[in-house]
Amino acid sequence: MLSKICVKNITKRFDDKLVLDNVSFVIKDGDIFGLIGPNGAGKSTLINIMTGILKANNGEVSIGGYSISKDPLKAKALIGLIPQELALMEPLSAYDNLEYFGAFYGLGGKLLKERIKGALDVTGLSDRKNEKVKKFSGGMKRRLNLAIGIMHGPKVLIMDEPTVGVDPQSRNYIFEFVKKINKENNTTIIYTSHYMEEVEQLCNTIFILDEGKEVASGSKATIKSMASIHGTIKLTLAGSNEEFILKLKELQGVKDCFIIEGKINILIDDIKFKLEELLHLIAKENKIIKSFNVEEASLEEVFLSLTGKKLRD
Amino acid sequence: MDILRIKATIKVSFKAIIAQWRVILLVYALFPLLLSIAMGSFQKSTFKPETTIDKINISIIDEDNSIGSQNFRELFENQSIKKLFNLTKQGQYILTIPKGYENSISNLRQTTIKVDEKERTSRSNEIIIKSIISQYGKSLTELITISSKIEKLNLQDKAKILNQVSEELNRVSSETSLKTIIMKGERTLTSFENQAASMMTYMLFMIVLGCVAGYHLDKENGCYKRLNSTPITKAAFFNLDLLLFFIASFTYGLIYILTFRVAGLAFKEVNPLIILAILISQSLLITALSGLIIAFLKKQSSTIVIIIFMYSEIIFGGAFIPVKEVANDLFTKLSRFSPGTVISGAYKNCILFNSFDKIAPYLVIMVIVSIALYTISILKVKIRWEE
Repeated sequence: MLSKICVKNITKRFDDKLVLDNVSFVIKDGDIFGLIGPNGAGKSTLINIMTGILKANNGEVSIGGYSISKDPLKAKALIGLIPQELALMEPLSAYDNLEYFGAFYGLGGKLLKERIKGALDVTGLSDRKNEKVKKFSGGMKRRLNLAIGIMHGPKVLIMDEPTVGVDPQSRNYIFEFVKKINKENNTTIIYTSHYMEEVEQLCNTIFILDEGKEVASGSKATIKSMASIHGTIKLTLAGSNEEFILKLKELQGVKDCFIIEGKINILIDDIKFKLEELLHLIAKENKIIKSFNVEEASLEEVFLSLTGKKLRD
Repeated sequence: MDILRIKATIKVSFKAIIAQWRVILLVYALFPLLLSIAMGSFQKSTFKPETTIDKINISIIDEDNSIGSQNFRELFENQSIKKLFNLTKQGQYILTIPKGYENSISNLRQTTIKVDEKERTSRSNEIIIKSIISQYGKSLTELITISSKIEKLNLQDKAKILNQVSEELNRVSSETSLKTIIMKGERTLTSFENQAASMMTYMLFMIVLGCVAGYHLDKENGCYKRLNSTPITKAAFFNLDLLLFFIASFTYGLIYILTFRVAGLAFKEVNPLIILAILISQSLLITALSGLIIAFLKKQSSTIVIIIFMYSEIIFGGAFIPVKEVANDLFTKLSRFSPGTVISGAYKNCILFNSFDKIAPYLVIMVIVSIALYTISILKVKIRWEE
């Protein structure tokens, strides 16, 4: 299978600050590729380089075989970008927005009208097409943002943090939309987010970026195996547990330990961790167990294990 | 594909202007109109009409060499007339006093002083010269007629009439009278017209600020990213931005002019084609200046630069401080270099003379500066921009 997108040794500096450091990956046709990392990791800069908005200091990006630096117009014709910001002209109607941006994708006349109709139908905005965008709800604006990004039928759809500030209903709509166009049109999706559960739910390939560097990449299973944590024990104990956390961290096979919403989360390495040692410590400290649960490690926990920090820090 | 984008840009520009008509009317019509009425009324009592006439270089060829022709020459050496004319050997206008001039005048026969224009400079200059000669000739004829009649009168009547004649002579040669004669056929600026022309330079930077702010808003709301991710080069994108700027600046300028015209305060009897020519040149200048700013400066720096220009217009542009009334050499010198002088000069001359000749130099300056600014900007964009 030919790779649709090839990112090779991309380095980018802003003045003296190194924002991307030798980043490389390959995305196959029809993949839903999750690009994750905390704020400031370099995700948006990488997206800007991939869409030809910024130039890299080193490295090369090719889309469908066309180099973004040497053959930018052909490469960009394959892309649809849904920026993190609501890239809309609010004083104008939804139809005016689609008409304007459509012209920039080379759509005109009858074809433009057909594509506008199609995009409005897919996003459920047909009834509101003549209303000014400034009167739209946040969710409707997000949908229009999607409609503009797909109206020219791109082979690659780049979605930069599409769920920021979105209500749960609109978020679900976006998820279904991504799955649908990926399945029906075999559109390659690049989905950036700092919500790990979104990426976990949607993407089949993941690239973790932190401080401009690759932390891990591959399928979910590959990444989890790289993190050397295999699960989380979620424990609720009676009384204060602040000092007890320090003792838990000393147990063999415990990678990290912290309290979230009153529950003690213990990240464990299955191979080294011994459950009897944990239970023995609880008994020794006279702690009363109120709840006890063992879960597979989430990507959030994997990220924590790999980078030593939480994704939303 | 470029045609599609150009059409879409033009269409969306006008739609955006229509969608925001309330704000646009407030900023470019109501605000300047009210400010101009207030400032114009305030300055009305102190306002001295400004002619903006440059000194006219003239040469006089005296073929008669008589006392009469000498008197005519002296007319242009009079202190008050000297404010308007330079008597030189290399004049733009050559006035020839024909042989037999004095004789013809004395006998009340018609004689013609020929006015030759070396090169086409200004229709209004020609009118001024001819009107002065005509007025001088008229007064001279009257005096000769009177003096010939005086000869036939008795001593008492002679004395009485001589007194009247000397008063008349004084009137003709006095500065005030001369100005009245010159201005008779020419227009002067009212305080409101002066205000409308001067305030345009302030509005110019308001428009530049609007254009540049619009560009930065597009960057913040993601439109810049979306448009640049389409199959378009940066230079083409930059040019489409300039097209947006041109449409906006032309429309805002037109709204400004129409407001003053409809209100009856300025631009009333001016040829619409002259106004159109200034508007197009001015819009080109605004577009090129805005382009230069977005090509070279980041948001914060561009705002600072534009605000400095705006303040310099407020201080030196003449709309808020009557520059002519300030008796400070440094201030007067600085006001000459006020960045909007070219535009206000064009509007003042267009109101005063209603002639293409008088605004042509300003239009040429605006177009040349615009081309220079655009060339610098597009080079910058092609080499490295927003990276």
